[in-house]
Amino acid sequence: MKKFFIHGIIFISINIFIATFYIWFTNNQYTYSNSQTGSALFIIPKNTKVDILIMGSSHAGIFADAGNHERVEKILNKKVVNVSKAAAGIVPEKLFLEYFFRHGNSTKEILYIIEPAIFYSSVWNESNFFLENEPLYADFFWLSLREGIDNDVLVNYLKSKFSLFWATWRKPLKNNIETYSLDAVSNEAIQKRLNFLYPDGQNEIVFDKYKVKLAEVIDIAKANNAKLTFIYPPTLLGDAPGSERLTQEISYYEARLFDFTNEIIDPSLYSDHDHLNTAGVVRFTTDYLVTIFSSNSSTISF
Amino acid sequence: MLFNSLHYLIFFPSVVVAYFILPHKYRWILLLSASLYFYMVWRPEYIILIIISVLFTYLGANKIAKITDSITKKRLLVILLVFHTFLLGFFKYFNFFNKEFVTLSEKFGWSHSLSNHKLLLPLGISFYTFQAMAYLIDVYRKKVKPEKNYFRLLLYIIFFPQLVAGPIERASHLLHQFYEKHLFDYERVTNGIKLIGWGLFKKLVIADRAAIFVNVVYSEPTEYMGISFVVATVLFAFQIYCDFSGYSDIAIGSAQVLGFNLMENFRRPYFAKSIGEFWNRWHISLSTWFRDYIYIPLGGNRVALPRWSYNILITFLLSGLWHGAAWTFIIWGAIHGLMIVIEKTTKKWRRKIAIILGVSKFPTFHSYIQIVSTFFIVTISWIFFRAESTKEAWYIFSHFFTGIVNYFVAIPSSGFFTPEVLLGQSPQRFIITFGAIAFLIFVQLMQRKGSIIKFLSAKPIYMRWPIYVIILWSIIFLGQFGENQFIYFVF
Repeated sequence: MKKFFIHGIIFISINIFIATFYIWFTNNQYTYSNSQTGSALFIIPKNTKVDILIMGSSHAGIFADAGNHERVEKILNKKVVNVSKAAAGIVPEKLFLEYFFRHGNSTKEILYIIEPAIFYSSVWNESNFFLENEPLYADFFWLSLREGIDNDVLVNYLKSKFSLFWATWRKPLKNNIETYSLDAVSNEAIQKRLNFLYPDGQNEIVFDKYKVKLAEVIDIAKANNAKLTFIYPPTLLGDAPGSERLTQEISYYEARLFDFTNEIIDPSLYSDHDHLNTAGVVRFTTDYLVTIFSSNSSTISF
Repeated sequence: MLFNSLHYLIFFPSVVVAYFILPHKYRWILLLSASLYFYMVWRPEYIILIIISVLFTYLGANKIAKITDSITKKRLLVILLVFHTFLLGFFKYFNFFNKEFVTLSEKFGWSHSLSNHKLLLPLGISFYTFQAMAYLIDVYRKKVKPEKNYFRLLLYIIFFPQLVAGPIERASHLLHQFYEKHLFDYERVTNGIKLIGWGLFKKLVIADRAAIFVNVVYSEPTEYMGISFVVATVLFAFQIYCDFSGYSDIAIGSAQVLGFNLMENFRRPYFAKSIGEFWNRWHISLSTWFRDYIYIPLGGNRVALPRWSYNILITFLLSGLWHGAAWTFIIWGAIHGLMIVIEKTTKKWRRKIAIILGVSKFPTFHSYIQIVSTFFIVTISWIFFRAESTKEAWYIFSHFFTGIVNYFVAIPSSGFFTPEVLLGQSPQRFIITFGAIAFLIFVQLMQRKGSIIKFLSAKPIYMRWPIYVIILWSIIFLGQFGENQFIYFVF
């Protein structure tokens, strides 16, 4: 039995060494700019002061994709970090926000491009895939563990690193300057999108579960002296189901909220019914974000 | 509990550690508790069925051993076998036969309105029922003495490595092992772990990867033809082999770590030179069960050719039915039975043809022809095993070679990786899947000379450890970790 344990320990140690080297290598093989990766952790700096931190789901992601990050920084004339992630609800986004501050970073402003749908389903908050395209950082792992992130998500986070997908996929994306433009608005497409965004309908119990995270995000911002602004992004879907409920919740904390849902109605500024294209991002940044970041007021008329 | 789950990764080492820490007299209690837990992770309430089934087996076997009158003894055995057959029949076959009876009634204008039951098929029922029936028959035949302790008999039936998908162990082989003291043996334990690793490789890297291609075609077969059917069916041949033999390897390896010896269940079946030989190599514990308890009692091969053919066909029809309550499985069994009859009746002719063609002068070449042709027949028969219905199976069968020539003719212009071959997957995924199958064939060719595990164990550590490390990381990187169920769990 002694021989078995000695050999077992040596064998396990060899494999831990291989795993550690592999993780180190894949974490450090490439450097990324904000528009080159869908991973939030790869672009969170260390001990850095930035002007604006953008967070949210794909509605925030479009402000970084396809070279838009550089465009937005140029228009705003500010240093921006975008920790958004496609399909990510408030649970994973709160985690990235916390990690950003724990890394010694600071920001003057936080822009949370938020939508009510993320409060109505666990799909946007507890799905296994959230951390699949994130590098494996020990401190982030422990933070996630302490934050009570679902075990399945964490197991998948570990497991996803040891896959061909992760080993081969992480190259920085080329700036895709191609932009799609919507020709016309389709009611069928709108309905399809709404069904997708609200897979579990509008359950108030689910909303109550995730609204706690909203309060925590607000607390983190306050604790780190960052001005937090929520916005509902422009979309062709119309007023989002549950937006009144979310507005009420955000107002309760006296946080700044701007509703741009129906502000841009020209389909050519959208890549689909729910997301602005590059021209739309440029227009929105120029016409709205510049004003938001140059004013402290919570009521601005556009 | 699935062998390829995180749950088992924690469960099994815990059981092993506790097993070797505990004094010998308590170990069987640990194994019994672990086996109960292993089964109850699926559906706790279904354990009652096993407990009752084993209780009847236990009481019946002890009664059979005491009865001296042969007629009464036989009657009791028949009652007990009917009980087990009823149990299996109710859960597994009732809905199938009921549906067929309804169809028949409608045809003849009879009134029949018995509704189907909605109960789940108890996990492993085909395996533990057959194991219990074999035990009863062996007690009746005085091949084994009846077990005096109900709980030890329960352990024999539900021993977790072989509970849900075999091997279907005989009491004469396994039961006494629960009384033996197993010391921690380095060679045995490490060889068991290697076998588990190899089983996981087969399951996760080959079977579950192949399944991705297979499922695409077999879920919508009417949308495909020709080369797509060839790719999917050949991959299914390897999927089912690697899935089931992988499970058996993990089962045998797990038992081996604990000091138990389970019977071999697969012996490189795709290297068989005939269908008859295939059944000596495929699911050995089941084929020997049918041989000992169905085929031989029917008369075996010591009868005239027509009766022997009948015995073979009955045995294989029942074997097909054992695999599933559907006509597809019955046809699959019938194909194998018929092929064995044809093999025997044409043996002289085939030998003469081989001599005339001069093939018999080249025994190695002749062997390869036999292996390839057997694999071809087995693969074609898998169509019926995998298809959702006889209609779909017939569609696949009748379109199997449609457009094949055109595909090969077009390779220079269209390339090898056409959408019909890739089935919506990437060329890399295709190459990895077939590369893993090639590796399996290479290993099995090596195994002709003896066990590869023993071969590796004889090598110095600096030679064998890199191989273990490579296989381990291949499983991690190339495996499909979706906790996919083993195919034979539903039988």
